[in-house]
Amino acid sequence: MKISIPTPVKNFMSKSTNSELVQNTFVAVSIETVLKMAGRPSFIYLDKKADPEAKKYASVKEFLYQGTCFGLYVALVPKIKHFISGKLIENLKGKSAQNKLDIAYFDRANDVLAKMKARLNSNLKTATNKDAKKVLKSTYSDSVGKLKSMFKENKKYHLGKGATEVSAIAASILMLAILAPQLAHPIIHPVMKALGFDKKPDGAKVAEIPKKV
Amino acid sequence: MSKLNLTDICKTLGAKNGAENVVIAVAIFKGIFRPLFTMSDKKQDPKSKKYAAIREGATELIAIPSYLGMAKLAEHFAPKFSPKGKEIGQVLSNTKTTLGFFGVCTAALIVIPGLCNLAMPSILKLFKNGDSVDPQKTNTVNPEINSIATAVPKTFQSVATPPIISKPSVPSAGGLRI
Repeated sequence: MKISIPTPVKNFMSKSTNSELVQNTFVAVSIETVLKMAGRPSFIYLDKKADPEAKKYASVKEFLYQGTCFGLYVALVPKIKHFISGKLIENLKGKSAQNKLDIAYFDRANDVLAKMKARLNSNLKTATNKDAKKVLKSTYSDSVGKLKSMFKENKKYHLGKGATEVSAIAASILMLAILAPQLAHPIIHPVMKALGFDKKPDGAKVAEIPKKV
Repeated sequence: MSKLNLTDICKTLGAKNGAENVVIAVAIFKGIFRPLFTMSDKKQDPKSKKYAAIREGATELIAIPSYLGMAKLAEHFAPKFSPKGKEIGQVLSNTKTTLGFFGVCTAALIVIPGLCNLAMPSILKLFKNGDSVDPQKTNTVNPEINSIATAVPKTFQSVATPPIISKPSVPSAGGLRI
């Protein structure tokens, strides 16, 4: 059976902006965490074999855990990434003269992109009508798209870009595998209590909730 | 074979950084650290922490091939999703990356929880011995992703005890019906 994919879907999938966006570690992990926030509690809740009260408890707790992870990730990872990236780039620069040149190229490329963004913002402020703003925005995104693909094709750009991605991966690991399970517990516990999920019934001993979620 | 160093890793990831890279890296470290943290928690009951640690490790063990497999499977369909008449190399590469990300998303949303549901009882049976906690007793909730099910107080799981969960006085978060 031959399935034909609609052209708008094809255009969306092959768009360089989208490809660039999903290659950004921070964006990819943030989206993935939001999906986990929806998927995991749903799977727990939809389980027909489970005890209704227990699955309510577990799904709410999982939802809160993933939500806390997402919040912590968005709030702290950019700063951790920035710190790691600074150290890593210094380390790479010290390794060889070529690395130094490559990092300088990456910095210049980022400067150019930042200047273009600043110019767009100032032009948007002075633009009088909606049409002019629309033209400015589309011209900007076209030029940035072309510039970015030009940078991407240049091997000198890869080292700096890779260093920022490696830093983002390291920051994600630090946050999601080490810090979040520790930090989430003191946040979730009071919220669960506030939601009435931790109420001790009359004459019943409530088992201690394990630390890990 | 040339030695892979940090510079090479950065250059490789700078050229192409698929979404599966980071999720697999996080899963590997979660698979190591979360069972370690669970086992080192002195407040927990030894039986339930052993059970929780096995569950956490197994979940990440299921997650790693799922992420990789789904990303590769999605990338396989890239030629069908690429528009014709454009510069095929770059367009195909863009499509592959975007589809790979959608593969990772599908794995996180559906495949991993589903596989955990199917495989976890068997995995826990393998580790079951005289000391371990009976999964059926500790976990009436679906044997899901991580230790969340074990986090359910035992009294919640007993039908003999009076109902503990009272309806929250505040609206439920995220539209979940409580």
